[in-house]
Amino acid sequence: MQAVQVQHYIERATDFSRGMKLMSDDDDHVNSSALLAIHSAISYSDALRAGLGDARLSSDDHKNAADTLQGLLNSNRYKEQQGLRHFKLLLSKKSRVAYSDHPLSLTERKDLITAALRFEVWVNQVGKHLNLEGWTHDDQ
Amino acid sequence: MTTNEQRQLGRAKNAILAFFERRISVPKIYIDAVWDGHPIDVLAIDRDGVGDVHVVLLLARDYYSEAVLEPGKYDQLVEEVIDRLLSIQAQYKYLAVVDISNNQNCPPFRFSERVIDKAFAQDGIGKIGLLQIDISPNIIISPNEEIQVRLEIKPERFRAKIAKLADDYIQQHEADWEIRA
Repeated sequence: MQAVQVQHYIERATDFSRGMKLMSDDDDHVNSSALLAIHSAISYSDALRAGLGDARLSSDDHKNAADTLQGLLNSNRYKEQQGLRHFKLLLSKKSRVAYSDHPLSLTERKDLITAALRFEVWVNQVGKHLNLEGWTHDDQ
Repeated sequence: MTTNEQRQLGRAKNAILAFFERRISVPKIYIDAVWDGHPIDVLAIDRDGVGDVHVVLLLARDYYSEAVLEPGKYDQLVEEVIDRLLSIQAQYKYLAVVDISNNQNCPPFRFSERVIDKAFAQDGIGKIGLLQIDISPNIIISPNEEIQVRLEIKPERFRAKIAKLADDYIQQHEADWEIRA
């Protein structure tokens, strides 16, 4: 069951990530691609949390998601936590991207996409190192 | 292989690298790889090496070659590459026809119905993707324009238990393109 949940969140995360990439050079979709960058990271975090046994997912309040993830990594004595800074940056910009009355600049969008891609790489490394059930795409 | 053909195929490999970089999440991409004993023109492993494996084989098409001038001969070559792809373990497989014809009279290439039908796995689970890359002088590309990779037939996922193979591969090889955490 846990593996199914992990794969569900990974599929959602990669779906958002691919959408982000498709629009990443398109100046008519600055906010859309930035928001997909943030949601891709949130879904990847959910996948990791599900894999680490956290049942409290699917909340609209993502403010504490990075702290919760950090707590789970600490519980598992996982020290390579450099990816969390990308996640924290992305979460801190969620309201700005989705609701602010100030337009998002191309540079801000680029920074968010870079953070999302780096977070994605790090998350996949964590999932693999911790050997989380359902993390790899090998056929059963 | 002539120097021109080698150069054009090199450009095509780079174009495929860019195609994967845009289409899949955070791939590790390898050019001129040897995967499970098979030479592969472009190999991409999704999600920083823990996701699906994509393999691409290229086939040059030159108007002056005997294979293109003789009717049916080039399709036979295409089918041979498809047979090779079917024997390779990967979740996604692609054949890319690279048109390097230096002749304006050369008709554009079309994948035949027979080739499209052959691209399916025998059990129906999986279908080879068919790509076309035209770098012949017929196509005018401005100096700053990227070479286009056209996805003529979308691939369908094959079954493959290759996580261990992928783990070993990324341990032993340095990627030609990857995003660092």
